Amino acid sequence: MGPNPSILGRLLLGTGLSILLMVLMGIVIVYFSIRNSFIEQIDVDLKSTANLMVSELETQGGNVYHEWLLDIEDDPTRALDDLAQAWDVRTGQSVKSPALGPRELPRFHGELNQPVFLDATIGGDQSVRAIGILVNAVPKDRVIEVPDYEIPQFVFVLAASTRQKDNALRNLRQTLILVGLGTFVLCGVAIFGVINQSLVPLKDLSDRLDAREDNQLGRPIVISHNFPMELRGLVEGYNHLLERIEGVRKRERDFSYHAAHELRTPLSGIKMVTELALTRERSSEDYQNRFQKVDTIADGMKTTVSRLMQFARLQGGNEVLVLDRIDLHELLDTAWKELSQKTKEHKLSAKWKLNSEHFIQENDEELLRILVSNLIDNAASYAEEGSAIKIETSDEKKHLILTISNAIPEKLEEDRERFFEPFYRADKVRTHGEGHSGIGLSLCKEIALTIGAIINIAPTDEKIFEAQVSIPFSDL
Amino acid sequence: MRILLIEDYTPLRESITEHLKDTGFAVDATPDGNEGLKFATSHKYDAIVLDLMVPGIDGLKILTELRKNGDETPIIITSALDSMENRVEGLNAGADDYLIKPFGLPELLARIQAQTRKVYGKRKATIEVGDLVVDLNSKRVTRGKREIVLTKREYGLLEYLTYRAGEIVSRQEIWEHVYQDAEGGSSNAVDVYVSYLRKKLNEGNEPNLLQTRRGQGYFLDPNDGT
Repeated sequence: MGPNPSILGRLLLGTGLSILLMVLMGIVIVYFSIRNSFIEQIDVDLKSTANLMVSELETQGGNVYHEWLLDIEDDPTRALDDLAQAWDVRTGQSVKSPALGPRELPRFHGELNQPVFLDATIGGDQSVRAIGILVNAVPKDRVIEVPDYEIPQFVFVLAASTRQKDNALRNLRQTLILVGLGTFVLCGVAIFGVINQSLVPLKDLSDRLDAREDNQLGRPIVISHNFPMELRGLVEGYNHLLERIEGVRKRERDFSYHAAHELRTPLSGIKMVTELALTRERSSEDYQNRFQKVDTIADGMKTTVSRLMQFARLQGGNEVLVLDRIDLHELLDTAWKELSQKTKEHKLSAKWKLNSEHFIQENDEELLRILVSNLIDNAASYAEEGSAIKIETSDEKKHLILTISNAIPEKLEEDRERFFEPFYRADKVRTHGEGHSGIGLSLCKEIALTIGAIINIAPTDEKIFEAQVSIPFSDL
Repeated sequence: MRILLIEDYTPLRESITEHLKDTGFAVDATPDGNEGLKFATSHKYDAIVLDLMVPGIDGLKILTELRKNGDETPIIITSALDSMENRVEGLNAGADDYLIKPFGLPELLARIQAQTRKVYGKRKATIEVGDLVVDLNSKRVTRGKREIVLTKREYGLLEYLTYRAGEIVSRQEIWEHVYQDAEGGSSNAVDVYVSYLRKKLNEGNEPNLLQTRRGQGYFLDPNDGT
């Protein structure tokens, strides 16, 4: 099959070969059935004739009488046609029918009185079917009992010409080949038509897709009730693929849209603060305060942009890991301390349960630091005021399990995977004031993928948000 | 004019509030959706500036809730969501205007003024009451050929009275629309400022434009008090 295999070609070739095989098998079966039937008929005739003839091989008073030969010689037709020969087993001498002339029949036989058949050629060119029997001459003495060993044994061979049969089989072969060829051609044409017709909906489908305008590319294919069921799967698969592509496109659109949103709001803030500063003459202290505000907003934007860039690098696989010896427990402790202002404001406490024995890791310190900081920061930002944040590590099947959980006001109803979508916010709250850019958990997921870890939001029936990271051991 | 501002991004909220106050508006500002809805349902505002993405009840729900309860206060949505779908959704939910961030303070101010003028049936940016002319854009006030210089508070009071010229406006209404809640004092302060304003409006033998209706309130007479 070439580089562009054709379904029509394959179907035609496949069905053509199958039909050819079936026709050939039919021809062979028919031919050999008829041939065997011919041979069986010849064998039946030879056997009955031979039985009659050997019964005419007699002994009387010690002499052998070939009565069968006399019968042949007396009948002019049989004298010309019958091909028979008998050999005296003891002397090796033989008698044969006149039709044989100088030719000899093959001498063969089976067990005593058990006829065997043989295809042979006599005189170099005549094909015959022959029967060979080893027989005892029939004793005709009624008075003297002749012992068995004194009864002469003869090999009697009777042959019949197969010319007629061969001619009939030759004609049969020609007829069968012609019928087979005709059948093959007719079936081929019919199958070509059927296959071609069956492929019309596929071509229609292809034409419909080709004819689509750019603004219709995302539309699903609508099929009629009489659309072939074999192609329904293809169409459903295509429509499903379109849905998935649309989903990906929507996420990409949402990403750009949210990224723009996250930058527009602080940009708006900068514009307003500066506009307001310029509305009238102000004291230098007033200007200083306003510039300070702008600076704070710009810092927030810088954080957002830098996280976006890092997210893009991680997603694009462009982040190069810098492996180092890291104490994960120390990282957790540092991350918690860095949030002291926020935890103090929200009256949050930490509940530590650090049981992992594999907390010294060979990993990328910066990425792990961001991962850990984001998770703890996320917990501190959304935890209920006055509650405790649980920070736990344990070991499980060659993995360090880091769990950070916090109490939340409502049970999680959303698809937990959505929390890892960039800029996804369960309560649509923007928390610029607390330094959130909305991609903290997305970054965590990308970092986890980069360092070979798995992160998920654990399912729970309680009002708890629990992030779990499974990091493969990389002890030093 | 009293404005309710619901905006959770602190720099924006503070800047808008400061600017509106500077230009004579009374402003109630909150970062929270729940609190914003509470304000909107318990006070009479001349316009509401509403951010869509706020904590608590989101902006769209606040808008829907107010309109469902028959509140016709002009609502201007301010949002960074700039797609056609978002704008159509906001306007269809009952918003009077949709302002996309980042926007300038003058633009926001102009839109607020356009909405408040509409509420009081004034199409033009200058309101004439007899020979008194109030330019809402430049905040310039003239009577005849005489320019009247007013303080921020006096201007706010006059603007509200010109919007309602020909109607009796109670002291309570003036208090609610012109004064900040946090300013303290009572509606008696209204009387003080009305008397200041009256002095500046009426000079010499000019007819008294700003009349007092005992037990009812004040009345800016479009017929020059004649």
